[in-house]
Amino acid sequence: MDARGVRLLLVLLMLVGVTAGVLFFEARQESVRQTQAEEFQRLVGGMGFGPASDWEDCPFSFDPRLGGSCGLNSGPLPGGSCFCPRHAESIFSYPALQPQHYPAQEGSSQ
Amino acid sequence: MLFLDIVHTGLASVLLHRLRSLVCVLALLAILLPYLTALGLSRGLEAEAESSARLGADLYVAGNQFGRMVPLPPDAEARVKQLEGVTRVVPRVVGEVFLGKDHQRAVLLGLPPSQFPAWSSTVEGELPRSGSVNELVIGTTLAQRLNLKIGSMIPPFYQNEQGERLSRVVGLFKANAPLWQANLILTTLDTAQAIFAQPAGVATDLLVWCRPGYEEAVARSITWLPSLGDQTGRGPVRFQVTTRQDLLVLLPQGLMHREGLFNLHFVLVFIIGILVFLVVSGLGLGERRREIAILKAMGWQTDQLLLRGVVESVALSLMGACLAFLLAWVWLRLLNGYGIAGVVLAGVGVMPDFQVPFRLAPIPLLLGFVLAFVIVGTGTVYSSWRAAIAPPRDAMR
Repeated sequence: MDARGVRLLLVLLMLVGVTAGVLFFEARQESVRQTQAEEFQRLVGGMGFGPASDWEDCPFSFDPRLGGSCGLNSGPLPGGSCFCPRHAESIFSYPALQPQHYPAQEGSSQ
Repeated sequence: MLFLDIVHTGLASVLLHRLRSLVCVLALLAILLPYLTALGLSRGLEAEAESSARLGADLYVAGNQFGRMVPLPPDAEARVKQLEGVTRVVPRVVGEVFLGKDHQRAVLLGLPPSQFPAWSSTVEGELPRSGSVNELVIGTTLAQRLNLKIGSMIPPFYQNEQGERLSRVVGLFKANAPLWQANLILTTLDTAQAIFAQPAGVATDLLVWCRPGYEEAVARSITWLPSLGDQTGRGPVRFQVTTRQDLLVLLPQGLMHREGLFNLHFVLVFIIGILVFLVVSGLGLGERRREIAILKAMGWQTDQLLLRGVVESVALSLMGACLAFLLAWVWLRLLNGYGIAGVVLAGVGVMPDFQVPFRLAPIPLLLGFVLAFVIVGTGTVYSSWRAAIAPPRDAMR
């Protein structure tokens, strides 16, 4: 095997090794990150869910608990979700919140 | 011919056609770098959203009037508390406020001070207490944009007929807390009620914890409770319940990220994938045909030439996938998502003031490699096969 092939092989092995190292490092960091997230959520009682850090135009993108669906989503129209600036290029899409319905008891005063 | 000899010539072929290899790896980077970066951000966000749902309350109870969410009147808490299976009910006030001369948007969250621990590792400074001055814990983006530090005083930013108070920053969320802290203001329940000019007892929602196994029964009991009369006399307010399970089902399953920004990425893959295919199968084809013809004349078989093409494709795909992964890591970890976080996370600037959530996992990397190999391998093997089945004399012309 000539030097060129060996050099390329070494470069490939080095790339794979560094990639594996990064994956290992990230797996270790994950638990630290998770601990911080858990501490925060315990403090605020569960706050935040979507890809937004404020609720301008669309509280649903911040947290569906604050608004069960996006008010600007014109879903039945083709591309209707794009009418919401928070959803047009969303990296983390989720459907509207659909709370379970419990049939009313007979005689309830709802 | 030994297998290792074929592998050797395959690797040497990558360096023999440098322009072809360079264009191929750059095109693979154009496909895989956005994919791995966006998927890393998406999965990081998903992990934090799961924590939010899992570690929050069992049930979130809000008011509903005219089909819209409205605050709950003061007697709602007592009604929910008395239900069987309920262990704890915490009223909460959440709303939007504007601060500073630029009307910086912020989410204000008020909780009873009794719910706060003595100390929290996500907050630098102290947690808010009730008193003559509003005490606030401020998110990192707000603090940076409004130049607030621990001890800073904020003039009244709200109107209340009973008077407005000064506010003092007693704590700052740390940058490694989830992104939702960025524009968050944490304060006590009574302070939040005063800021939104609401009477004592009014809450936007109730956080309800139940005995294990009682969640569904309690949710059902709450929805069956008689409607509440609101303070304005405009009609009854019904209870609306969101369970933890309702939230968890919103999370995408596995690698099922197919909407939003990923639609755009699939278009990118399609367009650049065709270009890569054309490059690997067409660029330098004449030279490659002559090279393959010489190898055939030296006694190489078609299957050996195809294997050589496969090795070349694996090397290029591996290089493209690993480089894309490492660049994605540098972008997200070392540059903290500079530029990209502001595009895909609403309310975030070009340079995020908090640690961007991301998760780089082996499976997306493996998928990226497979995708790259399918594109590069198809083009390389096809062109090699076309050259290999031609008589060497014709191929060398």
